[in-house]
Amino acid sequence: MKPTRKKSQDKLAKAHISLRVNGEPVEVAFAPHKTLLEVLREDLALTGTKHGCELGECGCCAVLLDGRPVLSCLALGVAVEGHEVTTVEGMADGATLHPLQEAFAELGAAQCGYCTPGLLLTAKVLLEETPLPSREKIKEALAGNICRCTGYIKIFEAVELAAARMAGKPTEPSNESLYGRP
Amino acid sequence: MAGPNGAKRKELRVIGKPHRKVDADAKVTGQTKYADDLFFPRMLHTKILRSTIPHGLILKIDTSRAESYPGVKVVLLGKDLPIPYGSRHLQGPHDGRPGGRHRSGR
Repeated sequence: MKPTRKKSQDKLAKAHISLRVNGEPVEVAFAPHKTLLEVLREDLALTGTKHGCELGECGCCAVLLDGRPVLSCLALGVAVEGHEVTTVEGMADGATLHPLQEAFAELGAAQCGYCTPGLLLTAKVLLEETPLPSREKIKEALAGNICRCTGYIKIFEAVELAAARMAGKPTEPSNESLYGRP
Repeated sequence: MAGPNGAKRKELRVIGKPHRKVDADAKVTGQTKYADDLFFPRMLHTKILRSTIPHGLILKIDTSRAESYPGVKVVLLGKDLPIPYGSRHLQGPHDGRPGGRHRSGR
């Protein structure tokens, strides 16, 4: 027997919103139940934002909403009408990487790379608010971003290196972070 | 720095030097494509139905409702596949064939 379905389920009206994504004005239509994560990945083809746990536990899907980190898997697409969204694709300035991206690449803080976009964006907000954070402060800020590869040490060191460079401090990574010994 | 035979160690260009990973830039810019990031024209999506009963014995599977669902292209069972799959298929089928065991939940 063919299952009976309500007609409204087959032809659900699409939501149509305008917002700014990575500085560009964007208009997008999508099924209204979609999360911001799904809208970014499936309707705007910005797959840099990663689909991890879908429960708000892993931080892979973190994006910036009006400059604040949010978990895009827990935000509805329709809720961002008129807002500014920043994804990892919007971090670099043309071909010039953001200092955080540069430091992550240089120190091997991106291993499999799946958690990296969320970490970069969360760390970006941290450095905007606290230009030279302590190791403890970095740990606290990145506590919502789970990484299963690196053991976090390289990530913390990369954030510290980027913070130092952005503050105009000595720019060489420490011997310890490069060679594992002082 | 002196080597074992007292000779001055030659400065090496690669060994002992940090090396930027070839894929590091792609990873920090979100350009790396993972399986979930691939989209193809006319791409179909699959959904795996797993047993709710660990080690349950499969007596029969009725796929008629799944097949009649709008948009469904195909419903595949273990019997449709030429080779049994599963991590321990040598111990007997547990791949969705009637008579086989389904080990999901392990």
